[in-house]
Amino acid sequence: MRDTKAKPDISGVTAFIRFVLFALTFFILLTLASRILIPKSNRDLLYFNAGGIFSLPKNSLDYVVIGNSNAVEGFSPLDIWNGFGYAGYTCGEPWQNTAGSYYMLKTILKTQSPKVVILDTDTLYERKSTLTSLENDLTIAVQHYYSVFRYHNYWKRLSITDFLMKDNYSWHHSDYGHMVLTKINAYNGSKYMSPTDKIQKMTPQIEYYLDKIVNLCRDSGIALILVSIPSPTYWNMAQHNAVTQYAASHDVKYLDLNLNYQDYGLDWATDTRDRGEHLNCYGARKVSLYLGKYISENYRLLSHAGDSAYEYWNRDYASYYKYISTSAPSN
Amino acid sequence: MAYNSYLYIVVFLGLSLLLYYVTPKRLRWIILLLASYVFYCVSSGGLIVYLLISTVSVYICGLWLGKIIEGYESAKASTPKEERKALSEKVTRRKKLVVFVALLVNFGLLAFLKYFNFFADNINVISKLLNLNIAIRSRRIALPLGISFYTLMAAGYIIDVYRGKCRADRNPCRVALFLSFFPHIVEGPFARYDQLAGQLYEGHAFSYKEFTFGAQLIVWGLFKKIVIADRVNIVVKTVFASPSAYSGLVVLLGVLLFTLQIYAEFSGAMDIVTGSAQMFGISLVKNFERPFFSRTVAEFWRRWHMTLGAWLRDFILYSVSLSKWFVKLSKLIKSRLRSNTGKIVPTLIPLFLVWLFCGLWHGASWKYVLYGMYYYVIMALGMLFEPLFSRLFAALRINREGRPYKALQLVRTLVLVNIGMLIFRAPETKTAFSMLRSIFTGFDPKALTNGTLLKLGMDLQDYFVIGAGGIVMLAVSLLQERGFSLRERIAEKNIAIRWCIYFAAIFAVIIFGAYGAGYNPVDFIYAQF
Repeated sequence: MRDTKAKPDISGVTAFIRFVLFALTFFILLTLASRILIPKSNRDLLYFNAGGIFSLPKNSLDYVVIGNSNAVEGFSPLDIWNGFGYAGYTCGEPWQNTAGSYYMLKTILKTQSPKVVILDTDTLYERKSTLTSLENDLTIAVQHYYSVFRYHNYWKRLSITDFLMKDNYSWHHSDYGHMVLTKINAYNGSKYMSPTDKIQKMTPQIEYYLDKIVNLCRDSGIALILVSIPSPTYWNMAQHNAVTQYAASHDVKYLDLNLNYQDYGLDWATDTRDRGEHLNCYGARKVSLYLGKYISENYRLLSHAGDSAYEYWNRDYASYYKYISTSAPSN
Repeated sequence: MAYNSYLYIVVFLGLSLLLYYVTPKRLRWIILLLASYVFYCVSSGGLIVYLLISTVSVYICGLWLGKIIEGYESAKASTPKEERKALSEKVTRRKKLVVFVALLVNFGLLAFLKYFNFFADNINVISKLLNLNIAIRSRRIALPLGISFYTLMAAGYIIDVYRGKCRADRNPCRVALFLSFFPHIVEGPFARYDQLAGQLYEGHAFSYKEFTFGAQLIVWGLFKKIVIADRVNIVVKTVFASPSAYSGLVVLLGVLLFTLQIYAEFSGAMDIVTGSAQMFGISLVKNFERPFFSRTVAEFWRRWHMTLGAWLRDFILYSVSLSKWFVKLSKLIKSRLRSNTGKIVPTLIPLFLVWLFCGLWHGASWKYVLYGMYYYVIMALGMLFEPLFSRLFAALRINREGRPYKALQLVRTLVLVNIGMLIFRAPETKTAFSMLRSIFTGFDPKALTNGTLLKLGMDLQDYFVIGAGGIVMLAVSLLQERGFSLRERIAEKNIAIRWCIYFAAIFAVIIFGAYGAGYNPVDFIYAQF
């Protein structure tokens, strides 16, 4: 057995100094590695099409939508542009949770200063164990501060030009983050959102990050709207009740688009691509126009329609409209 | 909580170490106990109740045994010599009863939780064959984390108390710490009470050397797990999911990579947990000793999962072969059979039980029974034919200690072990046999040139990382095999060289690790036992 009574091999002070120096060097190297191992094109930054936001002129967006696949497929910034002249972007990541939304918002605020942030409430209910969620949150935080943990695989594509040339953030996503899907797979399930007093609580770590989002928006002078994008598979009345309660106690607006989907013409026979899990582009158009109207009635956003600096929005809308008008819906 | 997660390394281990070293020495073991129970609760939730049952049962039975032993010691002095034998027999019977109760509780729980469905399925098959009207419904049973490990450690503790190898602990919290100690509860190494308990309860002073050596071992373990094992997992999963879609060469590659995966992963996990314990000043027993340098399968098993081998030897092999009834049986066999066979056959009987237990311990299916029997048959044949081989090699004048013969032995062991790994990893025995057949019958070297290898989930750079990583692992093993202590040698270098090596290792894990986007987290294979 080891002689545990032996004196430490070096003094405590020396050990402490070495530890501090080692940690300092480690963090400097991490920062350096994060600078080197990062995609040089914004096409490869973030997930889905979220990286496209970096190609837009600084502070040119009026609102941003943050969420997971529900948001990315269920929200169309170009329809809002056409209807109301507001410029926005849908920044989504697969299976994004609230920690992901929080760090995504922090990243967005480095280049944009939107007046409104729309948070998709599907991110508030993770279908994972507490342990997995905790690990996810920690991973997201680590990746946010040291991007080498996220983009470490970029070493495979690293070339000498990476060190010589400036970053190329010119990749433009012409649908502004929206994943335009024409597939139709009807939802034939039973009626959902039946009234109940039940409350499906959010986990403490979800609430922790939601609080952080609320505070970040408040500190940045941004109006936050919690929005439940229609989804019979993922949304229910107990979740609605919990979010309503949270929104009321934190003085945040909450809009549940599952409650009144008939009012804005959503049809589950034609507007979903996968039997009620996600909306297709037809459903996204209806949701977006309804939300645009809500924003125009409740927030003082300036319309950029006619503004020459936003001319590219008109071009993008024209090609988007042509695409959805001419593409035959698929099954 | 996986040992390679941020949560474990950054938060859990970091906080535990901090709390351990700021707490007064005599109370430090309590921090370890609390940390271990937090670790278990976070990882396994309410299933901790099974761990508590095991702990309480062996604690009470240990005390009970201690009382019987103490009673015997005091009664022995006042008992006349002629009555002592009867007293001893009576005491032994009582001790055996207590051990039986403890083993019944612990192995009963293990049997129910891990093997219920296996037994139910087999009973159903038999009852169908015999036209009996018995049908046991399968149940969804959640398996508590590390049950296969802590049950064996609990059984080891109670048998050691029975054998007088250690005294029963009067403090239930200390028994609880021994069983639940977070570095070993998930996948070992199997600890023996007399080797570990003292170290756990002793408050260790902070040692710079132990602390840094432990941290280095963790980095080395992470390298093996994240850079090597998790990367090859992609190819292994692809090949084993549909082996019939691939030629023999690809199947062979899948098998070889699985062997690399399980070794890098399991030994990597052992490095992480041993390093974690070392940071607290606690040394865990070795579980691997460069097994692929083994010349025989028996030697391989003395170097691979060494603590399981030691447990099986001490508690099954010795328990059976030294029991009265077996000694009598051995004598009978020896008197009836010819000299050599008469010597070997009595060894084969307990060995059969050892390998049956070993196979079943790995999993509740016939595939694992076959896995155990595969090694049993190899070893049994080796023992039975050894005299014949000896004569044959002598006649052919082959030097069995010469280098060429040793090299041949290494290759032979590697081949046999890989077949064992194929049985272990294949979804079922039928698939294992068809995969083995395809290696020999469907061997098509075209797969090397037609791009098939790049369609298995790894690109050229991945193969390069595996190659380079494999060379590093081999070089380290070769140095260790020659008695070279890498950590000691590095520690002798000046601080600039040392830190360069440490940072190179850390960043190799961060940059070349197979994690994040494009990779699914891979659970430790042995953590599922």
